[in-house]
Amino acid sequence: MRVIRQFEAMPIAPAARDVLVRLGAYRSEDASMFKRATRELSSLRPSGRYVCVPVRLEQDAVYLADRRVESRSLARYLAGCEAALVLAATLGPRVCKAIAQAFEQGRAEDAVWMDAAASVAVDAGLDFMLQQARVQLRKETGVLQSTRYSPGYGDCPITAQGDLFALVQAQQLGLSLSEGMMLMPEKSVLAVCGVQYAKEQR
Amino acid sequence: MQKNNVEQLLTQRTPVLLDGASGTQMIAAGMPAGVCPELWASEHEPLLAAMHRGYVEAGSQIVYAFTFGANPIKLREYGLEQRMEELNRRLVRVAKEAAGNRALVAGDMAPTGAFIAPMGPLSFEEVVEAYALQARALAEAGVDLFAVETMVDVQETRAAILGIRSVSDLPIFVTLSFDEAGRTLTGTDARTAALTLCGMGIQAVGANCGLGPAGMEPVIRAMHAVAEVPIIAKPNAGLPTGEVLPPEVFVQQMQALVQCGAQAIGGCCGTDPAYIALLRERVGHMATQGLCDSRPRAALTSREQTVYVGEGQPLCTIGERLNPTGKKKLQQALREGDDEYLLQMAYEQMDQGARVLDVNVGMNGIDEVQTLWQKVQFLAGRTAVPLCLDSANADALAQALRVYPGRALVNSVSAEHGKAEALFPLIARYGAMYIALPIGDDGVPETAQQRIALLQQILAKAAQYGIPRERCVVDALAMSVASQGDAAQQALGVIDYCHAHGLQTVMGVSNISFGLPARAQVNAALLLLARARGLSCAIVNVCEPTMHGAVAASDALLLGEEAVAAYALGYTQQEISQPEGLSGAVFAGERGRARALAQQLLQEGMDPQQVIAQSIAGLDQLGEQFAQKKAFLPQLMAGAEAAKEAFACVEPLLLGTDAQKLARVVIATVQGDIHDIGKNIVALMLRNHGFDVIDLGRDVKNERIVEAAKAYQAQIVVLSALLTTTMPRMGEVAQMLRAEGLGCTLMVGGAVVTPEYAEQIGALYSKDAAEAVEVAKAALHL
Repeated sequence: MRVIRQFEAMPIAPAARDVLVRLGAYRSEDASMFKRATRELSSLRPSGRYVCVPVRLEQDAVYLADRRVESRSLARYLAGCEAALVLAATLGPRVCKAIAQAFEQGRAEDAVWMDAAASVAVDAGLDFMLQQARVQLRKETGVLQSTRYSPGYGDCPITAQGDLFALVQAQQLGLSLSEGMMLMPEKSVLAVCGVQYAKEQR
Repeated sequence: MQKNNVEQLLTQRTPVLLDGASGTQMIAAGMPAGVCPELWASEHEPLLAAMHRGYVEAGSQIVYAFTFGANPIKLREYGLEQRMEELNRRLVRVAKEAAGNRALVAGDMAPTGAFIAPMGPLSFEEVVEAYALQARALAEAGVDLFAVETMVDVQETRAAILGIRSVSDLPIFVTLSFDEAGRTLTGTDARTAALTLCGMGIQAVGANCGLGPAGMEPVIRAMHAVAEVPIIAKPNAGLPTGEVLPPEVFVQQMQALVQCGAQAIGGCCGTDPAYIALLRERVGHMATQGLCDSRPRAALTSREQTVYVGEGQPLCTIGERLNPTGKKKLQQALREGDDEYLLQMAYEQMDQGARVLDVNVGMNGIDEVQTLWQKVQFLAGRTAVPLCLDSANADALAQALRVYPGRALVNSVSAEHGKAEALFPLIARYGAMYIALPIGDDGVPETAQQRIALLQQILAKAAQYGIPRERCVVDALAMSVASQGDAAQQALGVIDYCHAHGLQTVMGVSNISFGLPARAQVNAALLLLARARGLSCAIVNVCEPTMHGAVAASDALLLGEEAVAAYALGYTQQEISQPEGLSGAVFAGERGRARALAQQLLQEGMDPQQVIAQSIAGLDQLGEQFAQKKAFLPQLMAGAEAAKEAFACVEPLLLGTDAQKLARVVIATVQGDIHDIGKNIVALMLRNHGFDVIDLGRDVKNERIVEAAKAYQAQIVVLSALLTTTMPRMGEVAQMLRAEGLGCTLMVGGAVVTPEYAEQIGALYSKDAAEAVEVAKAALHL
């Protein structure tokens, strides 16, 4: 069974702190910065989709459904997993346009705020879907890995973006891939998360 | 143990024993992974029956049939939609046979697995319908009650309740799944969930799965403090950490949950009949708390938060601006579907402290039913505060209430003919609060006495629909004092009456000042007079400073120490002194002040170069703070933009002189890379330190960069790359520049670029925009 789920306007709730971290303000306790970060995040609602595909492991490569990805680190990450979720999240073209526009109009401060918040929000979109999947899988006794994995991690080639893109059919979210395997619009992410099924209960 | 009906069980003074995990049990009995659990269980009846019997024998007074995922939407995933009725019937039969006359059987209903629009692909009505189909099948199979469990979204939970209620009057238990932060997946906290759902005609509310008993304690406590119905606790024995609580520990922690207010108890993932047996032995005879006596009576909720109304609470300000009457731009936005504009108006009011937002879309040439329905869903998904649904059209209110994922405020129910009959059934079904408008068929009565008489009619009708008095907020009706001299006195008279009779009140204060000068202070004066006599809500323009100040100050005066401190903090932040002079204005990122000061200095005859030097001094100061992590990227950008304002004043005076720019810089993000924020930031910083920057944009071919360097005779070329795959373009450009014999300096930066790589290709590295300025200056020996 290959379940595909699509989400619009996910009600993400990332920590304002994450935005400050992106802006280099790791330890800031400035209330006005928290307020601004919260405000920036509040208007961002990513959309996304995920698909559950079977996994087959080789020494230095992984089959996600029928697609072979050569990567030792991805194989290590998926060790013990029978299946994996392939996920895509995006904020769509509007945010990227707004950021570019802010720069053009001499509102660089707004631009960097929006950029940092958007990066946090799109990641939170992935996490939202994972949390949803976690709850769903519990009844099917599947357990999701606690971390997720994206092309570019470890030795995983960026070309794997193409494989993930095709598996999750990211074009359904209005996304496309550049020649250099970059997702467009910019505030979009692809990821993999391994699923282990309980063999037997204790 | 004899079988009791649900009502008897819930009113007993000891805990009701539910069952434990069923999925866990079926896996232990051999259910393989990846199958449809409901189908597999129905094909292994003896195993399923044994599981149920285990719980009945352990003491469960209610067992949940194994129908968790047997809704049509979930079954569709397995291609089993057609067998929905049959599966529910069989699974209930097995449970009933196992329960015999010793336990009740609940029809278990759970998430469909997909989300409701605007979040997911399913329409609200589609989900209501799916649950209605399952509920009918369960009822026909003879369940004693429904248990809607493991819900992660309050909206889907509402759909389940509405679906069940469309086919059955049997009791409904509802439990949601909360995380460690005490929220459901879609962001609803326990208190808010309880308030939203309790009003919808359910018999018990609570939590299951997600947390262990200790982790569930704050959730149960929060629900018990507000709920109008008994509380259910069905925690996991298996914790998110992977740890599994043994029965002894689990049961010990369950005692605490009963003390916090849980009335019906059982277990979820990781529990088995041994847990339930021990629960019966150790917890079964404890005295339960019953309903909380001091629970707040009046509250509104959104998906994410609760707003209490009444004494001891801040004034419940209802932002009035989302109303197209007299607002051309909003009218246009509504006509053109410009939701962003609505959002902006919503945020402006929330920033100014609006605790609730009034939403009114009534205007000529618009389908109000469709528009209110759509805007309410949109705003509910994007704003954290509860909404006040404002319409004279009962159909529009009906549709909007149905999809609003919280306890809304209906604006309003008058004593006019037919109003109560049209609106009270809706208010009862969706558990909303409402504004009672004491207006009859003859219009607005002048005196408080007449208004109170109409109010009593409205309250009497509400009671007929089972709507309690605490759901009512009475509009005291502030009319224009210019046309009725005692308008304020009459409105205050209504407030006095309501306050004495425990009714909440609201006023649209701005009517009072029609036809008077300096309206803001008249409005604020009425608000304060009314507040002193017990007004609990006000429909106001919170963005208007006099009103905003009156609300903030009166909250501080009435609510004690914390409120006073919050008030003081709000103002000190505004009054922090800013560093002086042009450099100070740039440092503080104040664009307006920077421009004004630059102009002033030039008028006073300061040398333009000096003016530039001053603003660069501000930038340098900011750069230092940035390096020390005392200022951050946004401040750096604000400073850069402020400096740009100052430069813009000076620039015309420098035209034609050669003192104009430090050096010419060509900047680009390399081919294949579409990330340009870093490049934009560096360009801005260099510009404002006096460099002449030519920005080629992003994804720029090597050849174009080299051509530009040549054509503009650039002294510096700056390249940015964010990916390991695009970084090699930097080396290629370096080679091409050398091959062309161009003597320019190459600077590089970006997430993946390292000092080592820079050195390897013969370029200069900088880690951030502030450092890039230093590096550029050093390269030119400035």
